[in-house]
Amino acid sequence: MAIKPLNRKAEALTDRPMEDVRIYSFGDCCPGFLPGWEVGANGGVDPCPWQSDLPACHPCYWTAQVPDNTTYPQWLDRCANISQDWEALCTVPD
Amino acid sequence: MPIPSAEARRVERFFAFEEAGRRLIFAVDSTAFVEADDPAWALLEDLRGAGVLRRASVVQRLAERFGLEEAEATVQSFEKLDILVPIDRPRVVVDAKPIQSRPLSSLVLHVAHDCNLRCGYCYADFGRYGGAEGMMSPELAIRHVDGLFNQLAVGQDVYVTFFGGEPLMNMPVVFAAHAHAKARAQAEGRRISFGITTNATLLTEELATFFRDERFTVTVSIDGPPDINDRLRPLHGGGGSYERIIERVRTSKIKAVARVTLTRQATDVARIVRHLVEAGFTSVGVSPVASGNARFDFGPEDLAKVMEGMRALTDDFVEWAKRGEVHPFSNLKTLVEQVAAGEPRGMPCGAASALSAADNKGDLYACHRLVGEAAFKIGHVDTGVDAEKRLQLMTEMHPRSRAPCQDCWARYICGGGCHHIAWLHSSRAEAPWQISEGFCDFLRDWYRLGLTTYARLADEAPAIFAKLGGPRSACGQPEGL
Repeated sequence: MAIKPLNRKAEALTDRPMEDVRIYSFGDCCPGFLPGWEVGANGGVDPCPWQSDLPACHPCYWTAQVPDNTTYPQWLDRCANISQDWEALCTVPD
Repeated sequence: MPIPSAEARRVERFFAFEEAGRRLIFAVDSTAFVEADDPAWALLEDLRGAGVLRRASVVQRLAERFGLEEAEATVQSFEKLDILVPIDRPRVVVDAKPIQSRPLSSLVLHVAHDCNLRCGYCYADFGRYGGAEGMMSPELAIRHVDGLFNQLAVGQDVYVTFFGGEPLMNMPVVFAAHAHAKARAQAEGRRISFGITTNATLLTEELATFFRDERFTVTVSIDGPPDINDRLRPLHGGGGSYERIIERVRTSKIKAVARVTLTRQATDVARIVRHLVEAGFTSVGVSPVASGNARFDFGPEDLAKVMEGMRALTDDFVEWAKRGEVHPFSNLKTLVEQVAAGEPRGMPCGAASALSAADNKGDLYACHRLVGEAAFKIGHVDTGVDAEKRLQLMTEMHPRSRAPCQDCWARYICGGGCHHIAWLHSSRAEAPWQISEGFCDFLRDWYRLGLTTYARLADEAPAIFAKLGGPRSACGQPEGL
């Protein structure tokens, strides 16, 4: 075993079988607005799993506009706080 | 080359550290806690700072050192822990849910805005909370109790704590409010618990009998051995309070919880706690002072000394556990229980969300420490709880409103820290209130120490976990306030 669970939460997580299919559910977001900046119940973008939304939309909706972090590790650097800095999201060089 | 989405894994937040020869990993969002072997530790190095990874490459790199089978098993275990996650799975943000107001279940009644001690660091201004001295009337106390009961949900349990100033200075009101609350709880089929926080100098045998019969949790404020306590907690007329407190607690044979205020004038927490455990307190909890006064509030070097003492106490805790006994140091006990359960905590305590504090002018505040502060007023006995103000406060106080919490590995153990301390550290400016960086570092050290202690217990005294657990009060503390 690579890891030894120490607390109850770790036991619960490691005891579960690996699933091929996972339930895809939305938390505080409105799927109707995919892709883009989902807005939470309080009117902010904060509660959204925004970072995963971007690549999650690939390749269906928003293809090449989402760089992968391996090739372009800096592409998000200017957006430390996405709820404030989202306008600074930049394109990547050719 | 983009990574095909089925192959892509993102890395969720984790905190990995080595302590006393153990390599430990704490998953920030799930609060799962595990010990790592060599391949798992090597994998972590690969994950550090990575955003999105190709699964096959991760396995391959690990297989070069540990063989394919081991590498695959290790990657799988990280997937189970939700540290390596398929990129197309939405992130579960623990505290993303909209904040909801549920009925308040806990009431702190400030029955006496006066005190017979003169502790220099008193955040309550000797019980006056910035106002004039004064006692709550029995009529007002009963109306406060009715206000609490009238907004409860069906079957909801109730907690009533008597507080001050010094509540023993106004026992007629304690008796009246207690009798009324107990009768209403019985009539409505609710469970009710009572508590009182006192300096014990006015405790008598009759009162002790009453508290025992009515199953009050009695919390006694005391700061340690006489040389420390008497310097910090003098009687109003002068002279130390230690002898009187200990004598009253002993002669009344009450089972009491000790609550210690730590200041920069008393940083030897190990000596303090050990002394009070020896004096017979069933539980001993410490809390850093929040006075806004540099004579008492901690500087960085004081916090380092406090942490040293906390470390020594974890050794005591583990030694007791090996003998099958739970050490009375309640801060550590609570933390260990929290790590054991592994339930992420969205807020630090029940202030405004479960608890309100009522004063002798009829006002309701977010918690007992914040009585008298307009920014934290959430209602009045005549008009009830101001739902809008309460929700606004809960939103402003939530860790997701506070920048330093966003990237903190301990945020779901901590929940953002004490609002009162944050408010003082923010110089009483506008929300969101933030705890100073130095104090956050101290808190992180404490949580790390708690994780380490938990790992030691799992190894050296696992049987103790059966004796831990139990409900917490609405304030998030095990007992007392």
